[in-house]
Amino acid sequence: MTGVLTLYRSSIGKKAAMAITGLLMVLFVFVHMIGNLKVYYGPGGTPEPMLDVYGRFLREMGYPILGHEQGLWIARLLLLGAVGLHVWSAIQLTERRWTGRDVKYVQQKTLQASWASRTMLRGGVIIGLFIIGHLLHLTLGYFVPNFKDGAVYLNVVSGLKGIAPWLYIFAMLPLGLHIYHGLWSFFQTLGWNSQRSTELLRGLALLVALLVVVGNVSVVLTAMMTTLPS
Amino acid sequence: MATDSQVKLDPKIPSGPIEQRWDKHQFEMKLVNPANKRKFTIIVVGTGLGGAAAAASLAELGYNVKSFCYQDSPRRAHSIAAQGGINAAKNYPNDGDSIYRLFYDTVKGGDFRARESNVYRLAQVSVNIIDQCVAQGVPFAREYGGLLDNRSFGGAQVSRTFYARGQTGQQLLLGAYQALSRQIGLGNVEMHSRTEMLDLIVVDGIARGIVTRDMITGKVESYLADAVVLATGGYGNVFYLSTNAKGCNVTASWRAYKRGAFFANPCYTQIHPTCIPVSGDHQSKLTLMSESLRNDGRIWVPKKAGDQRSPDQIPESEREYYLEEKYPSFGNLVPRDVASRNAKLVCDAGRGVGQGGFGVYLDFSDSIKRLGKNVIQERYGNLFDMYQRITAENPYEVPMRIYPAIHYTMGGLWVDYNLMSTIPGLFVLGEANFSDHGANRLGASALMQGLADGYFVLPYTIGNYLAQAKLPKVEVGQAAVREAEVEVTDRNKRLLGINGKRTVDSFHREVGKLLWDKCGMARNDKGLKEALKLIPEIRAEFWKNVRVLGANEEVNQALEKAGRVADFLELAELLCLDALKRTESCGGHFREESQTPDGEALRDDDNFAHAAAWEYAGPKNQPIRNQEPLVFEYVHPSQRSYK
Amino acid sequence: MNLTLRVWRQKNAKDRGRIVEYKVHDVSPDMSFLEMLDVTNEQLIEKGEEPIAFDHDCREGICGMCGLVINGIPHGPESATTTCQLHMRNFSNGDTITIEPWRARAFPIIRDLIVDRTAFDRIIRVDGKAGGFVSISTGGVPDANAIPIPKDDADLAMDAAACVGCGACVAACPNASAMLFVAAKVGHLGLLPQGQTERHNRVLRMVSQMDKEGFGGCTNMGECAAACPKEISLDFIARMNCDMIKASFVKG
Repeated sequence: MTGVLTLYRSSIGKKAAMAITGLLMVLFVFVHMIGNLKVYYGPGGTPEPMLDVYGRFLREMGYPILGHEQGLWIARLLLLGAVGLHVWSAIQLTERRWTGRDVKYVQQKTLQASWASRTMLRGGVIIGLFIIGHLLHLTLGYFVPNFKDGAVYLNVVSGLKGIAPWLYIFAMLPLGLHIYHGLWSFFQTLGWNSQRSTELLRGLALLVALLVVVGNVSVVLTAMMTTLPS
Repeated sequence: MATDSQVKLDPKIPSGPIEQRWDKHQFEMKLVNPANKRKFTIIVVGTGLGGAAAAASLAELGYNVKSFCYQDSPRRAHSIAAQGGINAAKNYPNDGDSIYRLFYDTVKGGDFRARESNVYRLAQVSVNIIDQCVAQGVPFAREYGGLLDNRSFGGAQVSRTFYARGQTGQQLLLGAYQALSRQIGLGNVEMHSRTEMLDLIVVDGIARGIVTRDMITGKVESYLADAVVLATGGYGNVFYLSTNAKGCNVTASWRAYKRGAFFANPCYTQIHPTCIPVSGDHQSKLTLMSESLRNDGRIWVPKKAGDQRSPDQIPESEREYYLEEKYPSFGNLVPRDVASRNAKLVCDAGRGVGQGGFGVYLDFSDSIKRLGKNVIQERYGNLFDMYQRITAENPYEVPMRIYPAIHYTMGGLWVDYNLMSTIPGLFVLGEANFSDHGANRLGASALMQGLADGYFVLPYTIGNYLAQAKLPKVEVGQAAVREAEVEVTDRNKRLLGINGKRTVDSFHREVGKLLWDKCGMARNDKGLKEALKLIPEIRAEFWKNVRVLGANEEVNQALEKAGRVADFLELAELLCLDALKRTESCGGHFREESQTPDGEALRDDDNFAHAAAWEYAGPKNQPIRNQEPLVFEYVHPSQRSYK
Repeated sequence: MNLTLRVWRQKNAKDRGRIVEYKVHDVSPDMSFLEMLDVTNEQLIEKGEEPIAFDHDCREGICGMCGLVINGIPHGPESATTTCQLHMRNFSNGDTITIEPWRARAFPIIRDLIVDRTAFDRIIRVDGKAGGFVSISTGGVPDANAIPIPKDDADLAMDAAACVGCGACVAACPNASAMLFVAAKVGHLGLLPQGQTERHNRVLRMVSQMDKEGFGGCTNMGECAAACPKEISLDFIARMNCDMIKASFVKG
């Protein structure tokens, strides 16, 4: 246990914390994206839309060992912890970064660093804001006309109208970039990257990022273009 | 030599058979009680191979060590630039090497002007050096079986050179730097970087400290000690253009000389044959390429003087592979002095190539044809890249152009077998002393000597001195100390106050060019006398007309340079004087008056089988030439022949 | 060639510093960048202005003393090249060149283009008990061939050991991180059997000292390796991360 603290105290440890929590979130986002694809089943189904079935599954996860929504809350707390540690480490590392170079260069060129790697902080902030908005919107029901708990499909389709879908689509850009650099970084930070594997790992990160972005954007577009019979 | 005084220089060579001398001496030397070691303070100036190794080893033994370097970190000393390798008589390749053979080759290679006993000891401890460095984590080149790889270097007939790519000096220095860092971390060494030694403090005839200038604040300070070790490198920069680092200087040695340490054989300067030629007046230093290039490159010039054709337009029949023709058995692998001198001869005859005509071709086209470009790339890739970066020519396609350049100085402060100078308590290591290479140093032997002195010789001999020395207490306020400090301060004030018209570099270039012309690869009576007349004039002009701006109490690189050049201007004269008095040719010192009928260096063993140790006699008098006779009991002087 | 230089001038650590413009004439394309600065300084001295202070020593790319940020790039536009080996043929007549020192809080400016890099020395030495060295004293070591080392390991160790400690990695890193420098030494010694005894303590102590010196953290951007004149690979950072994680758990 003291090992974890020893590690966390160092800048490398904070990076490792970001890597591990980041991976957890990437896994979540990926599964979330797959869940979202249930939109394609449409409003029909027996006895309710597929997306609602999936929603209920999440709530009943672990039943009967766990009670109603207990599994979901465990997952939520885990994710919240991951987000918290990710953000806290990011703050600490950012502080190091800002104090690390007290006088800026008059002129500085980027040699090869990707746009993704250079926008991790900004992207992270946007993603954070997006998550808050997303929770308020589709979990708590703000700005969703006729929001009804459990009626996930209806909520999604009626919620993603007007400006909302465009905000969702816009947020996918930083998310994709964040995953692209973050997932490769995961391997580098934990020491599993090398010249031999780096191309492969970058490819993997790109693939995951693309799948998440394309999957989610297509879902948003689908929801946006779906009109509900009134 | 009627004018030479015959002051007795006692080299303190132990008696007995040469193989037993060092062992016997080690036993006979007095030891300092372990509990007393920390009561002794030792100053080590310079953090190259000799200095860093000595400072680390002395601190490990328990002495209080203060280490000084002018660079920002001890890791930057110029030992770092050595490329080729380090010799050791390990005989790992089973090709007949032995301590005796390394000893023999070194004495012979030094043209019989080195002290036999020192050289034998050097060969003996060479084997320990490799063990030590490997244990420190120096990543020497290895074979697939995991054991150390060796190569033949500089024309040696056995493979005894250990190497780490083309960066052997760097890796050995980092090993020593790391050992030193450990001792600094432990608090056993007090490190003073960006601090330049500007004088030696001698109290009652004994070296007791140094005066330094802090190169950031300008503060002049004295540090006192029970012994002072100079590991401050060579004086090749007196020529302005050399392969030395820009900061390399003679100041520490020169101030010691003026305080009573004898300066031996200053005219023994080594000229390295494979350097990149000068490209213009702006040139600030010369870049050396490892002489391993001569293993696969063929050296040639056009037969016709003033031939301006590009090399690929010159047919085989109109090229002269002068080394191969003149020295059929060694060919392009003749020792450095021979290769250099022959390059000069062809260029002086107007057959040099490139801008200004000071260059010869080093051609790899035959090797590329024979071995393939890949093999050549593997062997010399980094050197070829470096050459291309500097000259913008691709050596895979056009022959390289090379020309000799000043590279190493065999001369230096005179030391006895214990590495102590003529000032008791002042020890001198590595290139800064004169002892082991005679008149010519063999390739891959400089690293060996620096580390031998620092790790395995000085830590013993300094103990012997400290165990017996009677050292009264000295204090910073004492007259001798104050006086040295005031001299340093006044000198800086004087330099800053001249406010003339010329930059420091312009004087350095002027004296450097003069030396290169009159006392470079070949010297003669007339030229040396001219130089001896001109140098004092340049010096006088310097003290009248140099312009050093700024103040002492700040970073002032011009002031640093001015102090160093002022010393070079004095050393230059001694160098020429030594060259003038040594009317024989030997090793790197080629007197045109003394050559064999076919133009080789001709020694005069009857009159010059001695080291000339110059004694400072005050500003107005000519220095006194003392002699240490060199006795060759084991390797009998013969005419070196590489035909 | 004639050039316009925009040079950072700063009298001492306390001075604020500013960019000053100079015109230099008679620059030859065969000059090295530092020789161009020599010429500039000679021209300044003749005009009675104090020359520009910059660090340099060997001028053959190995001592690690020189280092300037040239037009926003540490050691200038040519890859795998130190400032001293950069040649003016990389520039054209009439160019304006901006020259700045390394910028990092851990490398305070001493004067003009000279910075204090002793933080690197402190990372190597730490407290003398495990650091960027093998804790052995002179003498009493085994024969050099007593421990065979696989050639691949020795070669890889040499790749890392090639670091010249110039600090370009810190200068190039948008976070001013020293990870590549530290990783090179941890990698060099960690790959050799001689370095194993202290492997865990070494990485723990060196990283802790690195953090104390005030360098930024690593965000895997790779600018360090791109700026490194000795082309030290980012792999060594991954290797050090791995060592650090292991060491933390082994040593607690």
